[in-house]
Amino acid sequence: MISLFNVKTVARFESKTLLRSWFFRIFAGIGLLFLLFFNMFGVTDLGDGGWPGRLLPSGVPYMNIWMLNIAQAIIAVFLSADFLGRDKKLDTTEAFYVRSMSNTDYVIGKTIGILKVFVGLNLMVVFLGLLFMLIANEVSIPWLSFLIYPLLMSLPTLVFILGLSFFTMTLIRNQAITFVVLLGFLALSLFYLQNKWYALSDILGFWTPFMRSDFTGFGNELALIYQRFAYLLLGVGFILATIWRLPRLEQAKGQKPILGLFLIMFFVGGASLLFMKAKMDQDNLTLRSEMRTLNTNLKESSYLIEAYAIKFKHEKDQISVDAELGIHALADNANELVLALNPGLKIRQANVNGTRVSYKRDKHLAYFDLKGVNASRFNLSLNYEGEIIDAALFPEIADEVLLDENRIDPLLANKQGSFVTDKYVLLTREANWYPVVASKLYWTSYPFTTMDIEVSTANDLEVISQGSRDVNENVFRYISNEPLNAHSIVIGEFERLTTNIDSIEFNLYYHPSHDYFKEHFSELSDTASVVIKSVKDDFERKLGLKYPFQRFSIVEAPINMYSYLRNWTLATENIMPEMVLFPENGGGDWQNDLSRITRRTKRRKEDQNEAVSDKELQTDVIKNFLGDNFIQPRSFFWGRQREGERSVENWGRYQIFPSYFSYSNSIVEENYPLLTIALENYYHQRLSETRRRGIGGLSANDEVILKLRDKSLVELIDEEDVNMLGNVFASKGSQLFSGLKINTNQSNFNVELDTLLTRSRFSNIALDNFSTSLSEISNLDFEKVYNNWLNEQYKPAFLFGEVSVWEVKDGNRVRFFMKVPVSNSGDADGIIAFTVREGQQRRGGRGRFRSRNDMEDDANEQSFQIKKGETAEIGFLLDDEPRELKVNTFLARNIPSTQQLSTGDIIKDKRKVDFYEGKRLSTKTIKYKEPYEIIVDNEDEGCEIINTGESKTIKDWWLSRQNEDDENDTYGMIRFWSPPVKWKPVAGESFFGEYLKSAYYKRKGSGTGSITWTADITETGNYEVYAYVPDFNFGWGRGRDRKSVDKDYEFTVHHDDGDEAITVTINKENNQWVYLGDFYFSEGKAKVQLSDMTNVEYVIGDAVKWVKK
Amino acid sequence: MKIEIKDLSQVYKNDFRALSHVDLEINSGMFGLLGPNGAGKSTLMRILVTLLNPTHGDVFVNGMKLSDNRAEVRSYLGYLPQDFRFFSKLKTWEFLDYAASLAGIRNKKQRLEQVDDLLEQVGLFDFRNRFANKLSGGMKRRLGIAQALIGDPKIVVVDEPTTGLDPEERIRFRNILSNLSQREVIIVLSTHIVGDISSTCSQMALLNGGEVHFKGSPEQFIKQTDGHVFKTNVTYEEMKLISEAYPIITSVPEAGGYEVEFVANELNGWKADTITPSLEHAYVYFMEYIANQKQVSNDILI
Repeated sequence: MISLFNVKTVARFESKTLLRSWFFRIFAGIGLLFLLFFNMFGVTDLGDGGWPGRLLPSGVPYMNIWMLNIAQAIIAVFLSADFLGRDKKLDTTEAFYVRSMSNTDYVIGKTIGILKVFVGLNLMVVFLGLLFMLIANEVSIPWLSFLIYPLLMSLPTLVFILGLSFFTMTLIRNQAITFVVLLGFLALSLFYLQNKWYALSDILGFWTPFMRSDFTGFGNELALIYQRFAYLLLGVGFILATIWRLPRLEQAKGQKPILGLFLIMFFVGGASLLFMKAKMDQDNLTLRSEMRTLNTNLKESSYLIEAYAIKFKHEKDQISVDAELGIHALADNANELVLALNPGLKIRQANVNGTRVSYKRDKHLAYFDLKGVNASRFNLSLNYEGEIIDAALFPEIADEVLLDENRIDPLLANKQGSFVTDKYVLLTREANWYPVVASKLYWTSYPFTTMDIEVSTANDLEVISQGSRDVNENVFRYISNEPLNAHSIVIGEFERLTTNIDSIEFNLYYHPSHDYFKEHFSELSDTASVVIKSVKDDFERKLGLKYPFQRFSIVEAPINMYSYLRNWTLATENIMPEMVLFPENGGGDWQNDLSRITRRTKRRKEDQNEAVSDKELQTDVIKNFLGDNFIQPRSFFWGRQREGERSVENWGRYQIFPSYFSYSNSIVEENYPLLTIALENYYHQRLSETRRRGIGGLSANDEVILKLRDKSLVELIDEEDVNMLGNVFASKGSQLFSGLKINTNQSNFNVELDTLLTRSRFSNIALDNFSTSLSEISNLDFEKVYNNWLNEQYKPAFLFGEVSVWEVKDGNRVRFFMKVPVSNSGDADGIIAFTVREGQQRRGGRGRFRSRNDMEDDANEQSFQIKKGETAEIGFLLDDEPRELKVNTFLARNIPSTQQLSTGDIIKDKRKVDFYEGKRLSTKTIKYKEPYEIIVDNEDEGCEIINTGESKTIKDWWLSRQNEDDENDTYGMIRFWSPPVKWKPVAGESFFGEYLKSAYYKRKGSGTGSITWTADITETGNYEVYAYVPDFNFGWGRGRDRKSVDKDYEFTVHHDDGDEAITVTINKENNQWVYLGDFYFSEGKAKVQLSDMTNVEYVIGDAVKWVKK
Repeated sequence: MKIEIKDLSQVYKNDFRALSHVDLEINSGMFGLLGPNGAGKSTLMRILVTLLNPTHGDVFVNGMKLSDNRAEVRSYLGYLPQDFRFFSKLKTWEFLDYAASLAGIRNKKQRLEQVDDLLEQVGLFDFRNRFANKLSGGMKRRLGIAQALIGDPKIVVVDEPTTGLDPEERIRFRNILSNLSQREVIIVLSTHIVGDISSTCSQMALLNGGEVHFKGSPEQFIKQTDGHVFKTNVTYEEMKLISEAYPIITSVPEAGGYEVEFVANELNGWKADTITPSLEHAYVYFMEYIANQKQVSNDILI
């Protein structure tokens, strides 16, 4: 039926024509050129940036094919829609149609012809990637990946696109419309459908994780194969359908049925694969939701596991375990023990003290009937085996969060939490590879238990777990040195570097081919330990706690490992007791691109004319590396980064902090571990640096204030999904502890708290005991404070007066006295914390790349309690001129909760000033406004906005659509690059407001949009009218280089003698309260209007005041 | 070689009847299909070359039913479509090479030899490396005939091959075809240019409005017109009258009037000499007097 010769002939001439088509040449050329540049500058260090993903295993082939795939899909649409279009237009085609060949020969020939050319293109790209990887000579070349990516990503896409375009063309028979339809379809799949609907419409593989690990490969092979082969089969199906519909009489009768049969086969095959993929995903989601339901029904357990003795056998993708659990029954009448174990692990046998017990299994839970067991301590031995079901991890994570992609800029990695393959095993606590007591909310806090584990696995694999290690003929035994609340096991091919520092064993376990880091630390053999020790000491000094374990290992984990941050802990599964599971080759993070960091550091030193030896350079690099990853992670991240937010972007997954707290301390709380969260947050804040925010927008804390506006914490927990309340817990937590230490000597409080934590390490502390201890060290009835904290909804509200600074003589020294008046006009006592920075700012390095891990800090924070209704003056005695005064009002009505107060000029008055330190009560009241003033703020009733209404241009429409995304957060920040079409509220310290500093802003308009402030004038007379306009200068220039732009604002004052239009120019000199003029108003309503017409990109409308003369 | 067309009808989707009960027998040699534009010539040819399935009737090639034996018939075919102007981006020789490959010449050496041969024959050898769409109109036609002839087809179908060619090109073209007709092949040539047929074809048919109005040899066709072609001299005034009364074939201006040739059934009082009809005269006569008055034509037809 098919003549190979004919197919080859048609293919040969089709490729020839294609190669000669200028369209193809130009587009393929542009694509290749782009990729050439990418490889040149991204993969080798020719370009200064370099692309950090080049270090990822298979990063280079993935990225190349990923980019190529988009380009070639578009080219293929154009070319193949041209295919039949050309056939129709050219009468010459008919001369070939009368030749003796079958329609199948013809269409398949054409397809192969086009494919051949694209295969060539793919080969060239593969060659480019390989070539530049060889030139760069940094990481080992993933040869197999260079074959797999074109086959798995590129080929199915091509065949599908070709088939679909051919077929669409036979249906629509109009080239232009076909283009539009097909490109529209591509755009739909790329921009809208993305990975929705089980990622079934991701033709390009753009939204499907294709990251390939050197340890474990793709990890989602089955899903990938289903999805990619589905497209391949459907593509072939469409090609067959094109044969079916080819406008040429068939060569011989009776071919259509056979063709039809194949066609159905391919379509059914493709559809079944898609169905299987969808079913697989859906089954996972169903399992998770069933697990969630089971979890919500859990009750407080009366059992506690105190010790594990486990024999662990790893074989291929299975594990089989003999576990001996030492169990303590806490209540006499307990008779059912519920354990949680990964649902993929089947329990074969269960015995208590040698006698069989019956049990029931439901998903991850196993219900043991222990009616006959009366002993308060007994042993449960379990034998279980099977695979680990990865979908059963993190069951409480919402589906949409789960389905969110794990983008490693810009590539996609899989999201696996556990790994069991023949060469690699990674099981953390979350995998439930060992049974735990399934008590109510058991996943939020695990008790401390001891573990004695024997692991046998394939020869030449290394086993890593917690505790002291003993290897005996390929059986690894680990005995935990102290009870732990998380146990993990890693098996794989590892090289190991080890050293002892400060009697802690430091290990680095890495894949044998991942040794690119070595050359960057070649000079550090004798100094590395000194550097590590100093970083560690700095960190511990700041934190106030000592490292609790005897070991610290950095263990390379597959790039597809993904851990979620949960709101009850800052620990992710990437950090386990004694170890950090660190992504392969640094996970493609900017801060782990060592050669780039080295280059930058070197250049900086050279810029400063500092001679630098390799050793010093490497010392700097390793400090940066440790700091950026483990101490104070700050990832380079394109998006809004919010201060104080509990998000991975802010905290980093690999930070060492949880080792000091989450994995060494546990307070047993019956419900949500709120106190643990509060405590954790309090400690973590000791490490954090706060940054300035100018352009408005709410910090996480501010949003918490809005959320808690009329609610107590308990009420909020009742109403909202606790998973969304991470920031609330954090803010409330830091408020709790800031309140506790107010009443005592603050540094004593800290020291005693540190001692308390260290003393209670590795034990499950009862809440009662802990609160007694806290009461002791805070001189407060902690229980009462805690209950208030949970149930009160009242809030303080602070007003600040003018800050004054005097130069004073303290004995023989010239010092500075700063006085900050503050009053609390809210309905509850409150706390404020001041941070004062003194002296001139030192010029650091640039941006985030400066070495900031020396942890020196010239700021000092002091907190004060201001009781409700109180007015106080806080005095500071400083050695140097104050440079910056920041105040944090925590959970008060003030938004933003951190603001900078202006310190004004220093008064060098020779008169004696009564200087003091600390809080003094004052009788002067601080007023928001004077009695003779009328202020109408944007938050007041008198302020009214008028929008222009309909969007006039497509750009307007697009902008308003984009803004809709932000619609749900009430106060945004100023987006100077795309201001909204309608007035939007913004908040920030630069704006005016009594407690809530906010304003409206919008894109410049034609004057139809406006804001009107209406005041109720009660007294006829002359008034000075002012409008509040903050001065912002945005641009891409750096800090102080930015020029102040003159901004024209069009105000109209409606007064007794008519309306007066006033144009005011806002700039560096003229801003904030801007004088509009002197007008006569009689009793009644007075209006001031601000038009949206301006000479700059956007207008801000904030407040207007009338001052009676 | 023999093609039999039996009761062939073609009705297009818009109910246009392109062919109506066509019966024809075509033997080896050159067969001319004459008819005005829209007569159904191209439809008939497209059916012959398996591009179109007839609504009714059948075509038999050497006794084989065409619709059941497309594979075999296609292997005999060479076809030059009417509008042979647009090419994909191939060079002249590649274009032929493509056609030769599809015509089944698998051996590369043989194929290239034949390609060169044919290029030589049609006088395109010097342009073998030029892109086909860069050739002049005449050259494109020659390339068209070359591709139709490649692979020694038994049936060559050429649709209006001479339209738009200059006289020299046209003569060259006819020669190529007549050389070919020496062999045991069928050449079907459709045209509305009478001269193409008169000089080369041994058999012909006249198609009009989808029906065959005449089949036979050109001589027979001309013979039908004996005594109906006249020549006379007319004044300017008479010219107007005569051109309204009869189809004028030629009019040569002369002193005081014209010398005109015209066809007529009866002279109706005009003084004129009878002259020997040519194919062109016969064609005009048929179109005017027979095709438009069916009854008459049926009487005349044998």
